[in-house]
Amino acid sequence: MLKSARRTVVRIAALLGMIAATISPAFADDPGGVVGPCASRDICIVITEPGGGTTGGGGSGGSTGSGGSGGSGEQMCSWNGQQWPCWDDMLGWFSSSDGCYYHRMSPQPPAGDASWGGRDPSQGAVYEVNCRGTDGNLTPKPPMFFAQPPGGEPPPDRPYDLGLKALKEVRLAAPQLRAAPTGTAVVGVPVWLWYDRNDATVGPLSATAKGRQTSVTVTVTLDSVTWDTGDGSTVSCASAGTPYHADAGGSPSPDCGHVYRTGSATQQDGRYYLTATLNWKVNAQISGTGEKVFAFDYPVTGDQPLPLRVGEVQVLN
Amino acid sequence: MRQHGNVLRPGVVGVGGVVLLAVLAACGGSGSAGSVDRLANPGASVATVAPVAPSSGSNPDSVAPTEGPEGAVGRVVLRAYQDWWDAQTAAFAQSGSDGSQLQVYSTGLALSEAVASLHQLHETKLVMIGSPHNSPVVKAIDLASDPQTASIEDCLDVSDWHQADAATKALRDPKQRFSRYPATAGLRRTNGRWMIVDFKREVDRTC
Repeated sequence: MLKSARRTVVRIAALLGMIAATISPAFADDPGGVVGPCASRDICIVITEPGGGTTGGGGSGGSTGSGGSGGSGEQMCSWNGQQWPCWDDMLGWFSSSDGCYYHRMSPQPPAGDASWGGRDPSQGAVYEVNCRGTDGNLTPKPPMFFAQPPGGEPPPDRPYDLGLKALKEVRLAAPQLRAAPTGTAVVGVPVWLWYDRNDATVGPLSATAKGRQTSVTVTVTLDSVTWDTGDGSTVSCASAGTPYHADAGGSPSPDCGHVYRTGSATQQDGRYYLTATLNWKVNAQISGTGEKVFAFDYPVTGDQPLPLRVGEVQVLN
Repeated sequence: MRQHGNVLRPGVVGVGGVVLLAVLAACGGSGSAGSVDRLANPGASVATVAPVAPSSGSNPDSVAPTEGPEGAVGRVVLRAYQDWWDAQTAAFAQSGSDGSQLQVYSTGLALSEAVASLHQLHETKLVMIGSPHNSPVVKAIDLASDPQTASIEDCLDVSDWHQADAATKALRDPKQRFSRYPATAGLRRTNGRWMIVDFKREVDRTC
């Protein structure tokens, strides 16, 4: 009885194993319509012909699309019978010897990270790697250590690269969070939220990186500050908030505050833990012309949340 | 919310056929054979992520605390993860996108993969339309390590996210494609930012 059940189970398992090998359960039905190649590895498996052979793959559409125009006289690298730009703003340097791109990681991984392979950060740098197959398809590889840069400096006057260089000069700091009342806040009574102001926490900040003929200026402005108050609420504030002062009494903060509806007694440690995210906007423009190079959001948070005890008021008659 | 329908604890594996039968029965006619693979490869499960809170015992499926300092930072980590997906969705939707936002939210292999997909889309004149759906849970968070680290488990639903011709927006999905699968993201805090360092897809099972 039990034995035959087991045998059935084994048979079913083997059958399912076969099915799983051909049609994985994570797969959807055939979409129908015009079938395309697999481009996004989030939805399909990119099949790549490994590099090294000499079968010239079909010409894939020319421009690598990254970084826009790229200017005139772009240096091309030949590999496996195809031409690729020697430098790509996102992928980095293209190596004609192995068909791989090497992009210096920014920020570099922490010392002791596996990608260093046991080496000290003073000995070199770690690079992100993407390799082209003979069909041109890209295969991402784990980051690799190199004692010497596999490609050297980016070509001069690449606006994207100049923008990133300028951004490195901008110093942003994690905020030192404050709340009042500091000891125990009370349900229904306004809590003031703010953090210590300085250039690195409120901005705006800017920096310029100069190329040979092109300069790129990066401007970093504080768009908003999102507080997570620990009670399931988030509060959006325009800036750093106003420090509490005694004459304010029990009045609410003019620009950044919260009123708790539930005490923190049932929380871990009997406290809420608050975080604030500084939502910076980064804009890079070519100096002089103002032509956009890139723009993105750049959220910064502190490393330790702010504990706040919130008590329930006992109404005494 | 998370779907725990197919999540089995590795400890269950030793019980053998009885459990397998139960799993098969539970799967019913849905065609979800995902658990079978899990049974065959118990080592490749979420149990490799150690629970953080000492008080949470040895339950391998436990999640990181949702209260206290870990809970507070965990919510920041979840926002960073969702921001990363929003950035990918936006970048993959446009033929002229530069992917600079991807460099803010990811690094290392996770960035290499996102950039590879972006390039592949551009080079094949495709974009992604629709959007993926995430169900992320913080599995572990370490505020004491330097740098701070966290890991997220997700059930990534890509069934509403399609490849399409960049110009006509006509669907151009590949012949075989995924619908829903579990994935694990590793994150690291650097310079005040939580960045996705690696993203492991388990496309041989569903969730």
